[in-house]
Amino acid sequence: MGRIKAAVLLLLAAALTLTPGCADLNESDKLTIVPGLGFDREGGEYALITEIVSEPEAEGSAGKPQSSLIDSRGRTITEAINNNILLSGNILYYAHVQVIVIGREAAERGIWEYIDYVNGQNSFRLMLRPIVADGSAAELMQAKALKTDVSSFELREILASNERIYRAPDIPIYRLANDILEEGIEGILPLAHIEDNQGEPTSKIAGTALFVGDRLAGTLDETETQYLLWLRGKVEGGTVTLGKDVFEVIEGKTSLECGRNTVKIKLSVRMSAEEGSFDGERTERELKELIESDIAGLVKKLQTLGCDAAGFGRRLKRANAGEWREVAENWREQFGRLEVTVAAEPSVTVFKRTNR
Amino acid sequence: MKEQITGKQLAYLLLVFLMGGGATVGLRNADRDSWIAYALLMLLSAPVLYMYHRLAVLRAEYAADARGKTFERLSAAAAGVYGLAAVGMNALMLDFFCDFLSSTALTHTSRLMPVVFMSVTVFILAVCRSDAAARICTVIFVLTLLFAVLALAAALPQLDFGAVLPVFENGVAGMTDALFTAAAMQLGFAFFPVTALAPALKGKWGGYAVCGGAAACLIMTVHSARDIMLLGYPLISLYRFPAYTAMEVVHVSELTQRLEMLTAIVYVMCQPVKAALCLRLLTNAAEKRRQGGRYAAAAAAVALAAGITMLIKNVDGYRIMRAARMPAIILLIALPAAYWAALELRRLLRKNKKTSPPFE
Repeated sequence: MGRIKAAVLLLLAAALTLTPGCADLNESDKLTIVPGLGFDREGGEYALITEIVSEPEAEGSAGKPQSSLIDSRGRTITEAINNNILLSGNILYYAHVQVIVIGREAAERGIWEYIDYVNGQNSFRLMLRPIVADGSAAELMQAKALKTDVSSFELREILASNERIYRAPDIPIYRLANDILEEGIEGILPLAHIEDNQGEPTSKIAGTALFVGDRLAGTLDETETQYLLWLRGKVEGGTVTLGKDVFEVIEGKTSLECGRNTVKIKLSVRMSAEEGSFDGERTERELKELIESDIAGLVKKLQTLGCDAAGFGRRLKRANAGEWREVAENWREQFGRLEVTVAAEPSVTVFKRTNR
Repeated sequence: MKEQITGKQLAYLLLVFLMGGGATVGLRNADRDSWIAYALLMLLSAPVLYMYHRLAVLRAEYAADARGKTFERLSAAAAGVYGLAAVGMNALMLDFFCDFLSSTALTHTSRLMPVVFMSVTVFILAVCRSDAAARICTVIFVLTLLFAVLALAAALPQLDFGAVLPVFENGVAGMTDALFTAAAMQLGFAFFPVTALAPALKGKWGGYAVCGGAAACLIMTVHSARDIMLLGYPLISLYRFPAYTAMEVVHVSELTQRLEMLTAIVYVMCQPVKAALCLRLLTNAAEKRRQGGRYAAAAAAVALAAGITMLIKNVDGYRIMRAARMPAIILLIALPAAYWAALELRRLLRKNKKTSPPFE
């Protein structure tokens, strides 16, 4: 028994040799942190723009991280990424990637290969946000960041702030991947533009890129984006402009009754107004007409594009699987023929700061 | 001091054992209906675990008489097959463990490192006393339950409850297939811990065994539904470790990140338990033959399993499970059920003989 106990102790002691830490660790100075990537297509090649962050220099930088862009190319995404390492010299660390910018041309050719690449790599996080550039990804990433020197961080912050004002969708990559793979719904992404800000090009995220399958099929402006987000079931923000008056959305609820030939949209929304801009029932009636016609116009536009971005098909599938099976195969055509009715019920609350 | 474990400890132990295979791997073929498959497994677990309990009780009664001993000697000839099954499951658990570590955290680490690390853990759990193993499992049970509840609570605000609909979208064939795999490879292998630990159990323990199995299946049902509601279907079907990947997208606050660790810890704790408990029947038998024989038996079994794991590194473990499920059903459910039926019949006949009036 003594010998057995000695053997067990020896085995346990040997196991301790496995515990000191990672066998192949990399010191942080050997890693280059990547906060964002951009993909463009140029001819048959993939153009990859990688933003890298370096340590702040001691003097003159006020502790701000320094950012620079690396441009590399390849016949495949993997080749472009490998070529990147040849230029940077360091191991690129992708776990901090916040955004992936996809150029318009690349989006029109199909985005699944980028999503699939990111999904398959353990180094990327599933919460990163893809963005479609209304031009090339390179131009957007070169645009000046206003608050920091790292444009990818800034793009992520703009997206996060959009969550309350409903001017662009904030979609993590896993949700986009599921929308592309699932029947009865199409993928949407935020759309980014370059705008002139005091003589310098800066990035602005506003509007929606619509996909049919994995290909860019069209875009929505800021107002249409707000209504699309409402149809997707989340009414927690946004504004409605009636003439010169602006009504801020407090909360609301969308209910969709989806059949194979008809869709009934019911929307109740509570808004706030300045005292002077509210004229009782008349204002509410005008708001109702405006919202109903805007939503009907949006649905018509989606039907023309054959893009069920609101997910009417998915609603039908969840509510009535038998009926869905009959139309599933030709849903895009069927979606174009749907008879859609909209009923909005706006209510306005007046908030006063003074007793006047 | 006599080794003794309570019914409650057996329930904890079975919960940890059953979670060892299912929590992260999931039921791949069941698609969106994997949660229903786990719910059905819960119903199936009750009769199977009760059968193992009755078999253990009747075997203990039967072992004393002469014919019982002859039968035990005969069944010893088949023990080698059961030993191989236990080693095979050990190798599979090692393979899943290595795959999980290499695809989530230690991407560049040699496969040998986790194999050695887990083999040593399995060896210790396989040779320790039954009551020590039960105490270790009680601690793991508490942590498993805590992490399971935390993972669910953290994910709750992000759940899309409609994502589990429609049910039976692709018919019932896929779900039946997945249920068959789970019944064979998760439930069937519970034969080993129940049979091996039965001599150390005190008091009535059948009900506890059934409760432990049902609780494990309930946790897996809820977690399977949670994963689909988090990531959505069909995306979830693309991932090898869906529970881990689903927790990656849970966001509570900036301070609490990487919540997938809640799932990873459960997985890393439960898997060695499953592997080790499968070996306990083998180590018990070796100890009966020779004092201290359990050390040699466990070392040989663990070394064999580690060798197999190093060899099958390019083979999908889930495919092996599917291929092995029919032999597992025969060996671990059908044969014990037949043996149990025979013992119950014999007991009934003996009881009738005793109660019938003597012939005059």
